[in-house]
Formats: sequence, C-alpha cells, structure tokens
Amino acid sequence: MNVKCILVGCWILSIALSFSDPAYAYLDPGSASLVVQGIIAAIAGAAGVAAMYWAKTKQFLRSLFTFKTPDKSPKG
Amino acid sequence: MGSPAAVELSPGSFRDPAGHVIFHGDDVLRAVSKRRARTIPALLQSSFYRERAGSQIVATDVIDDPDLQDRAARPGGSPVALLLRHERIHPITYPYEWPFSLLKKAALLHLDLHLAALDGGFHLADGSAYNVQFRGCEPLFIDLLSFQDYVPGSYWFGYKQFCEQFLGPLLITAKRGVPHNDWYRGSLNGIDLRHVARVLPLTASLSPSVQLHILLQARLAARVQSHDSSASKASARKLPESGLRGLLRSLRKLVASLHVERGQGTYWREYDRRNSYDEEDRQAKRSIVARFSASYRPGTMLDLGCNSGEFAELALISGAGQAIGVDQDFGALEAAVSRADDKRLAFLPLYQDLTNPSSAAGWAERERPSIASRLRTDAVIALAVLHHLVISNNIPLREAVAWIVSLAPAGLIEFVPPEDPMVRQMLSRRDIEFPDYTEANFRVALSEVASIKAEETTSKSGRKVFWYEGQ
Repeated sequence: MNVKCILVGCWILSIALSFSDPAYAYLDPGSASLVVQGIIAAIAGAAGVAAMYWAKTKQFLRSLFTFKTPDKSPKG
Repeated sequence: MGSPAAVELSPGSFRDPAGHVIFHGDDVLRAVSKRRARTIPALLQSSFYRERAGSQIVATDVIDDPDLQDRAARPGGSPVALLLRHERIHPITYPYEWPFSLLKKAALLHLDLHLAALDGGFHLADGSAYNVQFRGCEPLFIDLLSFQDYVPGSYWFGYKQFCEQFLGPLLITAKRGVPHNDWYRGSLNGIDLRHVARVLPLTASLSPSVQLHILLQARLAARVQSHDSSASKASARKLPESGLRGLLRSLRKLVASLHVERGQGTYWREYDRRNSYDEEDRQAKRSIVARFSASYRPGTMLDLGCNSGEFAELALISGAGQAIGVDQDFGALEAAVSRADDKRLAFLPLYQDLTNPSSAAGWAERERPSIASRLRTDAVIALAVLHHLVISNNIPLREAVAWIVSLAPAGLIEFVPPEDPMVRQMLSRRDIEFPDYTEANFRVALSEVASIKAEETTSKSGRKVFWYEGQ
C-alpha cells in the first residue's frame, strides 16, 4: 500500500517537474532517456526501501498484538 | 572440387560496429570484430546462454574456417576475429508485420532475457524489436552481440529504443485501438515518443508507468535545444543495478498489462461463426485443402487472407511443415495467434494488406527487404480472396490471378461467382460494373500461368476451389 503511495507521489513529482522550468533543457533525446532512467531507478530504490520498512513495521505491530499462548507442554 | 560458395552481406546488418551478418550457402553467419571476439566465447559457455539456446536465444556455434573468416569481412572494413553460425530462421519478419500479441510477446522476451542476463553478469545493450524473430508464434532472440558484460552502474542505452520500438506501438494499439503496423512500417526505427504522447488518451496518462516511460521521456526530449556538456553530466552518475532491475520490472509489468479490447470483435474475427456456408459446403472446402496439403506436404504454406487460421491449421494437420497466414484484420489476426498458441501450431499470422505488401525499405531501400523476397513458399492457398482483390480493389482479374500464382509453385484458388450472395452484396455497393469477372475468364487467366489439376464446387452458389500447379 505505502509503495503505491510513494509511486503516486513520485508520479505527481514527475508531472510537476515536467511542467516546471526544465532542468535538462540542453540534453539530447538520448540523454533525456538517461534522466528518466535515473528517476525511475530512484523511485524503484525508494519503493524497495519503503517495502522493507513496511514489512518490518508490520512484523513489529503483529508482535505487539499477538498474545503468547501459555506453554502447555508437560515439564520434566 | 567446386568453387567455394559466395559470401553475401546482409543488407540490414550495418549498424553494429561489433559485427555483421553474412549468408554463405544455406548458413547464416555472424562475423565478429576483434573487440567483441574476446567476450562472446564466455557468453556461449555461460549457463545463461546454454539454458536458453534454441528456445529463447538463437542456437549458435563457433566456426573454425580461416579462409571463410577472411572472406566474411565487410569490404574495406576491419578483419573478422570470430565467426559464428546461427540456426536459420524462416521467414524473417518485422515488427510492423506482427499482430499486437506477437509484438507484446517479443517485448516480454526482451525484458525477461535482460533480467536473466543480469543474473548471469551480462546485460542487453540495445532494445531493438528487429532482434526478435518468430518460429510459429514463439519468439526467439537472434542477436548475440546485444549481450555484453554488465558493468555495474551503467545505464541501459537501449531504453529509448525499447520504448519507441515496443512500448509506444503497443500502447497506441491497446489504449487507442489504432493498430501499430502501418505507422511502424512508415517509421521503421519505432514510433517517436512525442507522437505517442500526443495520441494517448487522457485515461492512459493516469498510469504512473505511462507517465514516466512515455510522457516524461517525451516531454524531456521535446525540450532539447542543443548538445551540451550537461548531457555527459547526466550519464556520469551511476545507475544502481537495483534501479536498472526496477526499471525493467516496471516496463515488464506495464507491457504485461496491455491487451487489445476483447469485446471489439472485428468483422472477420466473427466471420468463421457468421458466414453463410452450411456445414456440407464447409466440409467440401476442408476436404480439398486437406487433400492438397497431404499431396504436396509443403515445407511452408502461405495462407492469403487467413482469418482466424482455420484452413492453416487444417493444412498443418494434413502435412504442411509450417504455415504463414497473412491478413489485414486486426481482430482476425489476434484470433489466429490464439489458435496457434492454444494448439501449439507452427503457424505465424502476419499483418499484410495484399494490395500493398511490405516493400523494401530503410537505408538505400535495402535495409528491410520486401516480404516477397523474404518468403520461400512451397504452396499457397487463396480461399475467398480473389473477389476482394478484383471487386473491392479494382485489380484486373488476370493480374490478380498471375500474382497469386507467382507466390508458390502450387496452390488452391477459390473463385466466388458473381451470383454468390457475398459478391452480389459487394457489387451492389459499387457504381461500376465488372463484366469480366466471370468463371470463364478466370479459367483463361489461370490457364495462362498454371495448369489446373483439380477443381471442387464448395457451395450451392457455385463457389469453386481450383487446384493448380504453376508453369
């Protein structure tokens, strides 16, 4: 879910970027594709990190709300 | 001892300085430059290549023939350091001839191979659709020199090419319902992303992936004013491997999500179900196709106006080695690809307008040879095609018959008489008459270029299928 949020955020950013004063106005079309690769790599990287933290958060929350069942195995 | 077979340079193989393709007798060889000759043996020995050779990547071996190696050099070019022999593919086809589903398969193969290559320490340098060919409807990657050693941090220089040659054409077909073929044929190196961006509907731009891969790239490209040192600054930064993999996975997900509108059945796709034949007529037609195929057992059968491939399938079952179907209808071609996939047929459906087949194109008009020069067909079937050429397109009857006969040494042609309901309907929409369109004139035209071996009436309206051999 949060990965999607980040993707949507980056997408909005990419639209905003493309309407603002172009930072790479002098690049040839091939270089434009390199810039896009850089942006997508950053998004993929951010999504990967977010996914990792989300998994950790979920695990933490699950551990908080999971009650340990008493150990009923016979002792001794 | 005879003179050695001539070496013929492939006219379309000139862009990559690392090597070029030559034809030598029946062999397809790839001459490799000194710079790449060091890395290719490692590729051929890698598990990445060996696991896919013959199934996803063209089967290749090294040829040890110093004399041939000398002769394989491009005139005036550098010496050849390594000679490879590839499995021969027939026919060679181009992305502007592939139906949507085949272009999509080729795109997915490209991305899957790129991801798998990274696992093996290689990467794909380019993103060209011409590096993929088809056996039946199964894609095969044919350019070994596209695989290079992966240098961590490097960009994919074929990204833009991939978007122009695969993603853009797929998007205009899937999102706009505009088949990519004619546009692509006029723009051989792919469709300019700025043009793709202009025709995509607003709903397509709601997709973050379309925004990034097409619209953002197109906007940046449109703002280019001049070459500048800033260009090199962008590529001086490294692209992490995880980023490259993310890019490839994002493209794969987008391509896999694209479909042509299922509900948008075109006329010919429905033709098999709605046509006016009764079952008896249909069986008569099937019977002569089956007998013809069993008699000639053609290595390659060409089916003109193949619709969803019913008769191509029958020809294959009856003895043809492979079938190539051509049709102009987008829905019929999709149905034909589904038939080939579902029944695992050696059947390749291609987009062609019979009155305007793929001509020679590209650099010096030799880079992409015409479809006629790429096909070696042993037999042709032209069922319910002739009246469309003559009545819908005003092609003179004699010329139409001679052209069909010129395509293969033997074949079947169906003549649909003027009294047939379909022809009557076609004639009613035309304000000119076709007094020459008669069975007698057809027989004369066919006898001028071929000998008639058999004929069979296939409908109560008087349709006839003629079995002929060229002279």
